[in-house]
Amino acid sequence: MNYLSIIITLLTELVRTVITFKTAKVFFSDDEASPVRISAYSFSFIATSALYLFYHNPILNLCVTLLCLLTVAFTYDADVKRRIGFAVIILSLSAALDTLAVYITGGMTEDPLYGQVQSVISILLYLLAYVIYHRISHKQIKKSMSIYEWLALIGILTVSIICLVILVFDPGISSYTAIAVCFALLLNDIVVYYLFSGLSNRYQSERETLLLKEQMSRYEADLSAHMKQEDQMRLLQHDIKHHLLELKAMAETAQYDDIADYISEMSLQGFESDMPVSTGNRPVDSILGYTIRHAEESGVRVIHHITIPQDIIFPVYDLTVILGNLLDNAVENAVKAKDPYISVNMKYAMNCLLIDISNSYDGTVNEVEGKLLTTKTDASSHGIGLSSVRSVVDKNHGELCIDYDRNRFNVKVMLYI
Amino acid sequence: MKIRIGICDDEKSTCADLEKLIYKFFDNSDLSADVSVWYDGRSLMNDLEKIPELYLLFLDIELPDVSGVEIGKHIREKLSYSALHLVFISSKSSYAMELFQIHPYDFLIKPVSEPVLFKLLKGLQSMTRADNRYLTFPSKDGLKRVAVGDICYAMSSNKKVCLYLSDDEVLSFTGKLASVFQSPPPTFVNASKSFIVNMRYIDSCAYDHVILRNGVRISISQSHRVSFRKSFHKFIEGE
Repeated sequence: MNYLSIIITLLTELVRTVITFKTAKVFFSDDEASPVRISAYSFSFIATSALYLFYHNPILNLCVTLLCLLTVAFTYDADVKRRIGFAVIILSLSAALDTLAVYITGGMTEDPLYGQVQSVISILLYLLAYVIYHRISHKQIKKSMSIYEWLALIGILTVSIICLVILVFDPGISSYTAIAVCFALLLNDIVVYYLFSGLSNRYQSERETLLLKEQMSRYEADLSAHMKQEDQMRLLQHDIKHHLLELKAMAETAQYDDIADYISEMSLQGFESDMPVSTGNRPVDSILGYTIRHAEESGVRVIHHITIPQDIIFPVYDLTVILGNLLDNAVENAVKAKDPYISVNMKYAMNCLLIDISNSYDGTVNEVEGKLLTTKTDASSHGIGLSSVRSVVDKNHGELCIDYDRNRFNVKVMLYI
Repeated sequence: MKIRIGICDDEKSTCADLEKLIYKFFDNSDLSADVSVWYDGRSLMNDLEKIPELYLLFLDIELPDVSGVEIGKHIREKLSYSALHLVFISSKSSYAMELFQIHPYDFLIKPVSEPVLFKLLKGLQSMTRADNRYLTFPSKDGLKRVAVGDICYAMSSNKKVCLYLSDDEVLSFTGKLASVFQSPPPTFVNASKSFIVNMRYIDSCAYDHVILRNGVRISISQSHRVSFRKSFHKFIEGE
């Protein structure tokens, strides 16, 4: 019994540490696992486990837990208030859930067995709280699983907790059985959670693949426009010899006015690029070309200033997600404005790429907890647009700034190349 | 105060138009411009060694004799004119990466329009005003000052502060970094508690370190990464 008990304690504290890490990831928008941070979390895990195994003083527990939380919070880059706030919130939540666990199992007890069950119930409640928090905070963005699937997960966790409560209130149960069931349920719930999480991630990447497919069709549309331009180029080259002979004849007889007229009439179509933007960078030219054509057809003015190297090395997929989504959003919103326009600026300096997109709009922005909701009717697939951009930017340690006033909406992205 | 501006392009019409627009801009300004024109790369390179330093140079990328890239590299490396502002002019809109490594201020597409040029000159003017501010620091002979635009980076260790200047000179004095850079100029940012960097001298930037134009590599401490990134973002945006 003793060994299993120790394993359960360690597992419980491990789950607690992992949930704290995941919560911090959402709270601070930072999931970097630097050595400093890993040591802080390891220290936290060891300290709280050791404390639980060797001492049973709740006050000491509280103090040490707070200390560990503060240590962990200070490995994140945020202002002091926010970091302390995080530690206090987590501590209060843990304490509240501990109290709840004790309350539903009939009160405080000296019996280490009951204490063990209570702590397992408490950690399951903590996991439940995290699952609900995660779902609420990502509602518009991670619509990868339906509400029913989330409720199923919550249901599984709740059933385990109820099971343990029943266990506590059965006087005839042997301590070995109690511990074994405790361990089994805890392990089960952890496994189910990871299963669910894995499925959710898989659906997420499938939707991203869908985005990529949409982008591929854009490329195809642009390619045909490009080929049309190449054909015109060839025609012009073919005709140039003929034109030059004509001009030579006119020059020999000093027919200067005729020369000027002839040149004006000459079709300069081969010289005018059908591609509005040609930086030499295929994905950029392609996406911008498509966007500019699409925008102008919808009556949206486009202003652009692009100075980036043609041989820039940046994952095409990431660039596509960022530019494609931001430009789509810009055009879709600009169309509704009184004076529809979008402006696109891209600049490269010192190994950093700067993308600055502004658009006019009708003034309605939906914002929830700092995350923009979509005004698009197809909420489930379009709400992921800005969040996809955010996750690609975060992946590249870049910066995303959103700024808006009544008339103008602006998004700036900076990426390290 | 006179600002020395240079234009180098083999198309005479481009040079003439640009010169006219530049003088027009400075008519309405308290500064005056002195524009010199070259029609080929060789003569520009020869003259650069002799004449006093230019402030701004408009350089054609597609010169027939020497490429704009070569001239740019020559300016930055041989002549160490890192403070010279380069603007590349071109008839194309696709640029090779090597052009960016010369750290031009901007790229202009021919023909250069008045609003575009004026916006560029305006931006340059405010940047120069910021660069001409002075930083005072204590030394054995009393208070001394150095132009903010000349400082590459500053380092503090053991109660001493060292200012590393663009001409490789190093000024050191006792004091604290925070007290000297009380209200840091807009182009300066903390990379860590003991390093403050002038973003104008950055050659390349990554999320955890920067490499300056003189080759020095400075790490950005974890707690400063987000704030550094934000300041850097604002800086390249404004440039």
